Amino acid sequence: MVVVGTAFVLGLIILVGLLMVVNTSRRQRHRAEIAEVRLEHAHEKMAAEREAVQQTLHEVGNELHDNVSQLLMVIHIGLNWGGDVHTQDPRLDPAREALAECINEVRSLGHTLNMDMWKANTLQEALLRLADRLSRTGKLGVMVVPDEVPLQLPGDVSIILFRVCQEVLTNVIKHSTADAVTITLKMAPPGILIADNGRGFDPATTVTHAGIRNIERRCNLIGFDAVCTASPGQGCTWRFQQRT
Amino acid sequence: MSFSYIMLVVMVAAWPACWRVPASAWPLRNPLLASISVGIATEVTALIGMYHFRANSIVYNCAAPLEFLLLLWLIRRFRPRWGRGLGVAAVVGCLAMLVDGNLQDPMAFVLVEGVLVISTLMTIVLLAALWSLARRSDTPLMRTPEFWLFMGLLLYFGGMVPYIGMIRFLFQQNAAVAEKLFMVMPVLCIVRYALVTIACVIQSWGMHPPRHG
Repeated sequence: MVVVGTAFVLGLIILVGLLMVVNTSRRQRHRAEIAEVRLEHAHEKMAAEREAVQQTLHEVGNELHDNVSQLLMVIHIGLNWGGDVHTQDPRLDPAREALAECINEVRSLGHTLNMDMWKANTLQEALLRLADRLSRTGKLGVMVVPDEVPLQLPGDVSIILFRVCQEVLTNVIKHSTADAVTITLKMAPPGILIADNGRGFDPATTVTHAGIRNIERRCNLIGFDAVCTASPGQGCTWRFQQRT
Repeated sequence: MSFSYIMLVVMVAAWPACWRVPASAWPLRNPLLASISVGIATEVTALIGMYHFRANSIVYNCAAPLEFLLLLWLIRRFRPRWGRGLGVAAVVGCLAMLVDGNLQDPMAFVLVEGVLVISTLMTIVLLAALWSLARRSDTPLMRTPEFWLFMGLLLYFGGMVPYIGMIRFLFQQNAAVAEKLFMVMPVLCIVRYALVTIACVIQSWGMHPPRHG
């Protein structure tokens, strides 16, 4: 009877141990499933946000191109009305020039915001144009180093990356005192590296501005990591890399 | 005798613990409350019977299949899809008691073979329930009331199987020792109802709908 009792107790202990193991494995699997569902949800949310942003940009682009630029054109015609150039009031010349520039900027912005433009042009081409425009100012030399394989990205990803690059270059012009910037494009995995030779900064003591947060938020929206490395006197490097 | 009273106290303590759990919060509450009630009634009647008539076998012989059916109902509430299998177990268990009742005098003797069949069936069902619980529960088993409930029942019925299975042999070998070993039953019963109380308390504390299955 003692043997039977001992066997019974032993059997119970083994059973409880076995049940615990099975249950623990079940809970681990459950946690993994939950994590997967959450990730899927985050991806779906990101895709929805991207779609909304894409749609908004498209609308804004169309509006700028079709409406605002037409209105500006009407003002331009009005300013030039009343005879040839020699009889016009010379005090209005700066206004005319500013208006012409404004029309060009609005049309250009309208084009870049339009998704159709990104179907015909690649990010590389847009960056080359941007680099050319900035280099022509004489203040900043921008060099684009393309990968052997051209960077092929969807339109909505291209436009956001292009805006991010614009933001970075604006920061370089405003804060870095750099005179040269190199933009390196990588295809596998898709990524962009922007390095300047400016004065740099200490990330530990520098307050993060809205612009930098905006860059990170935009990159997150398209599934890219944005990493900024900088140190005083060593310039600043931004690395945008698609998450694998 | 003292074990019987302790057993009765533990059983009576389990009843309000179970009563406090709202039936809507725990599908197992009603069958469990019914089985505790039947258990208390059986023990009280058996005690009275023992004092007055010196024979209480018939009480246990009647209570065993009733309790068996109530516990199968409880398992049915836990896993509704097991209905057919539980129905078969119920028929087999009741038939075994009927057959054994015809072969022996149920007024004079406990229907050992019938109880053995019932206990074996309950042990199998409870093992399956525990296995299913462990495989499907998203909460740790220790915090799951069903785990304590089924463990208590498994200890009781699983412990009964070897004891009941060997009781005739033990009586033939040494009746005095077999009589002494009879105290195993109240001990198992005390453990069973103590674990049932723990299950009810955990359910009252959590008071959330079950997250398994």
